[in-house]
Amino acid sequence: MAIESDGGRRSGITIAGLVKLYGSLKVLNGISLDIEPGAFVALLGPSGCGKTTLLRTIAGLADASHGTIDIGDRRVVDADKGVFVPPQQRRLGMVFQHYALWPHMTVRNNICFPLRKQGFPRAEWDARIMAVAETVGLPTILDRSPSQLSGGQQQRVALARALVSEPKVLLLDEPLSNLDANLRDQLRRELRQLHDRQGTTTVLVTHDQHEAAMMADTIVVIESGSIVQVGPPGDILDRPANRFVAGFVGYDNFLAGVVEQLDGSAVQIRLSGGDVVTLRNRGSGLKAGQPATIAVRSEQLSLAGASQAPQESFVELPARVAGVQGLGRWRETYVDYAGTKLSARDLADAPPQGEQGSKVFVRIPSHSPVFVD
Amino acid sequence: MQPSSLPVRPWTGRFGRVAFRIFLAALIVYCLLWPMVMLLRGSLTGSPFASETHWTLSGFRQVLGDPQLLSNIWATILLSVGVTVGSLVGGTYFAVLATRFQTRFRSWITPMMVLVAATPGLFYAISWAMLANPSAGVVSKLLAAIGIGGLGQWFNAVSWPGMIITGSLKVSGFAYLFLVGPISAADRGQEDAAVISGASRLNAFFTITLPSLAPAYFAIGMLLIVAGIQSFDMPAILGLPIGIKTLSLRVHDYLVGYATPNWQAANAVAVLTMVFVASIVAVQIWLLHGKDHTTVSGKSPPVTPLASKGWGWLIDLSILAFAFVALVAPVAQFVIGSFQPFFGLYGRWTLDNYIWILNDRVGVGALQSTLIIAFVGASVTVMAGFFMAYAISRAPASFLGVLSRIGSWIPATAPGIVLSVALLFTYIKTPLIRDLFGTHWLMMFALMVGAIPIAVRAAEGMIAQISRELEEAAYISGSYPIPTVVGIVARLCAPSLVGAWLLISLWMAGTLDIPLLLQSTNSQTVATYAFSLVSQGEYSIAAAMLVSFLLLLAFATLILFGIFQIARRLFDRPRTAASTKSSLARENMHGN
Repeated sequence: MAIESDGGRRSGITIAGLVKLYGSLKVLNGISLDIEPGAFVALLGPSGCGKTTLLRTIAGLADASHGTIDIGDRRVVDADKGVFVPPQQRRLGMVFQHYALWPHMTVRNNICFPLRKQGFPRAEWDARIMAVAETVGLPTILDRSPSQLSGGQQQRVALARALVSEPKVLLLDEPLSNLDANLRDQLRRELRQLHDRQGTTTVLVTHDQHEAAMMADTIVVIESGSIVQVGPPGDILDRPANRFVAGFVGYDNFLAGVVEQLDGSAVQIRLSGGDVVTLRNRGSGLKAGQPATIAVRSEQLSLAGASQAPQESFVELPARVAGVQGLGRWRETYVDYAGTKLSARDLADAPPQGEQGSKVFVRIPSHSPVFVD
Repeated sequence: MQPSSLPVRPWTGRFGRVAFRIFLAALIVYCLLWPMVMLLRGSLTGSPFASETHWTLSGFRQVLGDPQLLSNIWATILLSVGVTVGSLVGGTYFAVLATRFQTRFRSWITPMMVLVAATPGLFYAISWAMLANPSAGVVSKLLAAIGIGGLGQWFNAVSWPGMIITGSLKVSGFAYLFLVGPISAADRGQEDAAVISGASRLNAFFTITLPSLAPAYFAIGMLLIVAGIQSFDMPAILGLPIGIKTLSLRVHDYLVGYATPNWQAANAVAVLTMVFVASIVAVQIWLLHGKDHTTVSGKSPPVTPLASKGWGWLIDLSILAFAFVALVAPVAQFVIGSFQPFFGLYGRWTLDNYIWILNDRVGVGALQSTLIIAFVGASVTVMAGFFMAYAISRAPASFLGVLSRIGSWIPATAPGIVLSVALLFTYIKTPLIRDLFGTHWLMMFALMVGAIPIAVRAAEGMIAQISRELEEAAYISGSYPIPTVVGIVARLCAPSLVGAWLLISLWMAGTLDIPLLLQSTNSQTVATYAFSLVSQGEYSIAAAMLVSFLLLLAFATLILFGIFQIARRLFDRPRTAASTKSSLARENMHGN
């Protein structure tokens, strides 16, 4: 069961065997997850993978078909026993994708709403509102209406409203997706700093791998209602557990092969073209004689006209240039290695890496991830 | 600091919620669905007052064997199709002017059409019966004054053409309000493509834009035809005196046109009319089912109105002419008529009609009852309609959602007189409610049932635009469902709910057919009493009655609005004046 810390102000979340059915469609497929008190967790996945449903189930805005959820030491969902604590009794803060500010209330009244509804003494209201407004950086606009605010200001008001009642858990449902790139970047930093200061357990839903990596301590990757990988951002980005995660976090070249030999963190793989390469970043579960896949980002893949002596930092494969395409500032060179198409990306104004039909050598970083296919 | 626990709300427990939902469902079934069952039962049993029940098909046999039935059906179809075509032409003309032409009086069109639509049909019919009367009407008097009195006989509202033209003028208001949205939102890109290909803008509008709106026209046309079949007041005042009887009038005829009411026959006609209307609605649903009616792409640039060159004055003249014919003339006739000693005698101004009403117990009672109905009945209807619309919008597949949707359509498909019969049967068979016979409360219930579709449709559109996240944010903040729905959703819908309230109170005051069978000699509404006055030829008193009511309603609404404004200032002030000032001062200092 999830534990509480800091006098009950921060709560962990424990989810066990959570299933959500819409008719015969399984939206959540037996999710189990432990979130430590004070952690910042990102639920990452493509549209329709179930990440928002999982967040809404934690919030109490959606019910579960099976499974349990504990927030702190309180069981808020036990679907099989019919236990369902409604959202208004869960003591959470939440920032919605479109902010959900009430247009008929001033900023002050929007922020005050949770204090009123949760029975905070009236004498404390003003001080709490001012304190949270200072925290999120909007003390001067309290008497404006939400329609008079910019997107960034609205986002801050939504955050202030979510934080004002000192919730045990803060839920963020793609809170930055409606902002322009600069503001998004700025608010990411601010949200992370706020978490570091206040330490509220935070769950962020996002489909943006950079956002997840920049803000969260732990990333939970979800695919088709199931968790496919949990780990710190470095693990997810550098050691994806399978082809789905690799593809989602930006790997766009995949080479299939068979594991020849394992030695510590090194793995020797015989590729489909017959070449044998040794890589140093193997995933778990690899066994000799089994199929495996190497993943490489196109910007990490380089081409050379001539072969070099074996190096520690990369491995080399012979290939033929199949085409070149300009992409604005970038250029992509497509090569063919034993029937597998690979792409290498470099700057458009750099010297060309090869002409169509020419023979080249593809250099793959030796720390490229390898996983079970 | 932090409160130890949230307040306990036992009524939000599972049992409380289920019990509350069952109660609401039972209320919807009793008020909106059960009357139709009772209507069918009545067509097979006869008088609701009979102590014993005999099942018989004699009502249907009588009606189907009645040689007049066919002429009733033809009259109904002719009237509804005639009015629909006329009003669609008028509505289209003004919708095109309002959306595509830059003329001086363009901004007058929408307010003018709202007023035309909001004027109750009964007032309109009485006014036109006075205005275009071949012997005593203003039109014939004016023609006589300029020496062409012989033409006066052609201006007779109490005739087939009179009824269709008057009906078309009135319904043009609705047709315009339905059409202006689709016409202004029609994908401009298609029209632009035709212009680029060489068509003139006007030609492109008629050959490209209008045909692309065919589904909208079809849906609106069907709606107006159904409304035409249901109409009672227009044919009762402008058709009945010359023997024109629509199906609605036939139902009424069976009940009041003979020495004893023929309940079986009246109910049989009512059931047949319902089947007729339901089959039209079914055809409409079948034809429109599964088709893409998107005429709004959401990508079109805003329409730039065409500047009308040399002939702009002609367009302005047509707007002024319509305003005069559809609005100014009927209202002026009404007001002037109410100050004349007798209808048709012009020249002497008198307050006699108003004095007569103030001394008439039934007249004063009708004014009081109608005011109560307009305020209490319309307010409760708007609230009930809001909650039904909420269930339809937020939980469309739930039991309450489905029930609300069905319930909100049934009164709209039943002609008012049919609803009146159905409700009479229901109320008479219900203990306690039965005791309310002869009071205005029962008429109020009936009018509330009739107005539910208007209230639900008005709230539905608004609720659909309110993001669900706004409610969810309140739940997360600790708010419970009913305070959230009232404090967030209803509060945000308030402007359109007030609009719906005004429309419904006018509708309740002006509706004749629904309270017709539930009235008694002592308990009348303004509409039923005005109708009985008109039936006795007392047009001037009827006009004074309706003018008095409109003045009272306006006065009472202004007072309520004033009270509301004062209350809002008292209770809706910023939470702390001091902090407001200081934060504003800081804001100014920062120049933010």
